[in-house]
Amino acid sequence: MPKITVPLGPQHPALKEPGSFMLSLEGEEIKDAVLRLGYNHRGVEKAAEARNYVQNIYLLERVCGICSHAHATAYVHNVEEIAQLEVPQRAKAIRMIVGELERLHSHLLWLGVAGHEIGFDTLFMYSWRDRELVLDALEEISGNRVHYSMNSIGGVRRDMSNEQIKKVLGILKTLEKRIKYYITVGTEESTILARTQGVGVLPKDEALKRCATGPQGRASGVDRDVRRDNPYLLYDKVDFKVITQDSCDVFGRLVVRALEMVESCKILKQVLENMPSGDIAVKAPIKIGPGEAVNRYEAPRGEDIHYLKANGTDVPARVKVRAPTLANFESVAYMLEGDTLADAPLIIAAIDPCFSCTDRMSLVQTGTGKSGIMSFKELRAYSIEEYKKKGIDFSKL
Amino acid sequence: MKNEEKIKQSLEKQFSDKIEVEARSKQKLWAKVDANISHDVIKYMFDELKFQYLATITGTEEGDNFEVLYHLQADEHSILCTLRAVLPIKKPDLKTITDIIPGAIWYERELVDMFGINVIGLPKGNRYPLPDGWPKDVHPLRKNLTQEELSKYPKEGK
Amino acid sequence: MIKNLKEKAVTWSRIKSPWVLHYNSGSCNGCDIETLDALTPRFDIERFGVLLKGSPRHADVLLVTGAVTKQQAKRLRRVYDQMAAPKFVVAIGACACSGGVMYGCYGVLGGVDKIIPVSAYIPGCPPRPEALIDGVVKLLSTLKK
Repeated sequence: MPKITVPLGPQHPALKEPGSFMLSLEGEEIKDAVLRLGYNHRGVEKAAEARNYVQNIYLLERVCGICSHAHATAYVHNVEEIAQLEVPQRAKAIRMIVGELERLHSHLLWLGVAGHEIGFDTLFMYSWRDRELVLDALEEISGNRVHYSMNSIGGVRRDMSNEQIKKVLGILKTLEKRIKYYITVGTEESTILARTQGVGVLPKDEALKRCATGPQGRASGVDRDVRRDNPYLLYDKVDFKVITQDSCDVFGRLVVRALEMVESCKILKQVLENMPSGDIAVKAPIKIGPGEAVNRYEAPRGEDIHYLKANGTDVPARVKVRAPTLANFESVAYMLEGDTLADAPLIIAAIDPCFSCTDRMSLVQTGTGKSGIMSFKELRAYSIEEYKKKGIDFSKL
Repeated sequence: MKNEEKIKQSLEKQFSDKIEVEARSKQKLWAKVDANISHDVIKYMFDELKFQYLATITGTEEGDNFEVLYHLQADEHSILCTLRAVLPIKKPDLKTITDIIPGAIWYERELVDMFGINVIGLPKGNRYPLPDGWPKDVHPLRKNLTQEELSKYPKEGK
Repeated sequence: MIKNLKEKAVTWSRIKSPWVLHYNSGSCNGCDIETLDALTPRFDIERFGVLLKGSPRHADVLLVTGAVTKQQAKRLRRVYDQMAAPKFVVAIGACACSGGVMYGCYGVLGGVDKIIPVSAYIPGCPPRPEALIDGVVKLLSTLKK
């Protein structure tokens, strides 16, 4: 059987995440996967050294459009730690509300994408329709749907009125019902089970070795969550569970994300119903430091870690950002090896690498020297076809 | 602060005056060593002190030295220990830690590209994160280069 | 006369169903999710005949999001070259229009127009799906003339 090398990528929209995967195949089976990352490398860390502390909030929010609040919050935590600012309780609560809403929107987005990758487009449309509700809530609070710009150094920029709190609580009620429905669909629908169970297996010891984080790690039994282990904001005052699974496959990741949405709703309700009163921000100095700080934040995709070094001027000396997806890429190569080409899109999507829809791959058959181009969509169609042969058909749903 | 103290003591006992450890705040430890023993310290932390997780590796430039910060975590009590390895810019040699924790690979490649640190024993593979055709001796996060100067690279073709 | 009619028919059908290709050339993802949002039930851009395609060979309109990074520039050019004429490019978001917040970063070349000709610019960080639909509709109305 000729060995085939399939380049998959490079189109993966995110900061550091976009990558190309050179997959070596023997028949259907992936024997080896080599990664090339850095397609969206823009030089944000260098740019941050040329901007002042306030401008950097704006810049770092744009590291990632999906977890923008995560990056901005991790950054202001560092600045506040060095400047020794005491952030008001109400500001912490508002940061938490936006953070948890962001998690809801990100997980719903992932659920839709996973549905799309397995050929279950109905789920994609359903979950994205309900995601609009979360975006409504975020727009109500911050005035924008995607980049919220809620953080300032020493607090938040906008307060929440009682009407807004009521409105968000109302949205949560509807959402909870919908999420319950998705849990039923995700865990009982036989077609989803067939496509996700036993696919992309990452055993616990491998997950530990490869430093997997977030839902990716928790689905492999790595019980780690910054919100519980190193509580920031008001997470030590709310009651929530950290979801873990032992199935170590794509199905486990789906269950972890689905149940985390329920926990997020629980956290949101507790915070919204007991909003602390008082100021929303304290005055921050223009010049910070000297000093250094490292802080972590549990972003929807996993642990986000920021390091900041200040030298006493109004611009930072070093800003380091490690987005969660980078930590999870080392496991992707492992999960791909031994699985089939048909499962590759789903496995890559399962780490939630911010996602791509125009991913293209060229198929080069080394034996004959023939080459052709296969779009991500065609690959998806191919994978659905492949499963049809095994007796699982989504188009009839 | 009980666990922090315990880790601090065992590190100081093992490496005596070669290591400076400081417990700055709750669940955060900062340690400083010379780069030639950083590999041994990390091996000791993983083997004996139950550290399991490498969050990331940060490189910084401080005067005539590079400082490489390993952010390590022990799951048991979730203490984040930042181990600072100091190495001279003139001779930036650092031993890889991928033999202890394979997840370090992308972070070490970043050190190679962004600072020009020579990581000894790093497994072969694609570069990260700079574009193809970027000169091998230009390292964006070095302090002697400004954004304007960097914008010229890579020179050939667009 | 007949040739004129044929041209009219082609233009008419192109306006009624423009097929689009979405390409991320170094975006933060914000514009990408808003672009996809436009496809989903609330905004449902498909009711205007707009269909998202996976291959550049099928597409009439290229939607580009994000400032162009040095690693992506060549690939963006290649995708553009693979499209069949007549082709149109829409730059979505502040970064794609001019480089936006990423202007001056060493990994970024600038706006999309530094690499390929752009027919329409949709500013915003990110633009709302409504703005996106409006931009595409405006582009189509210029085709009529």
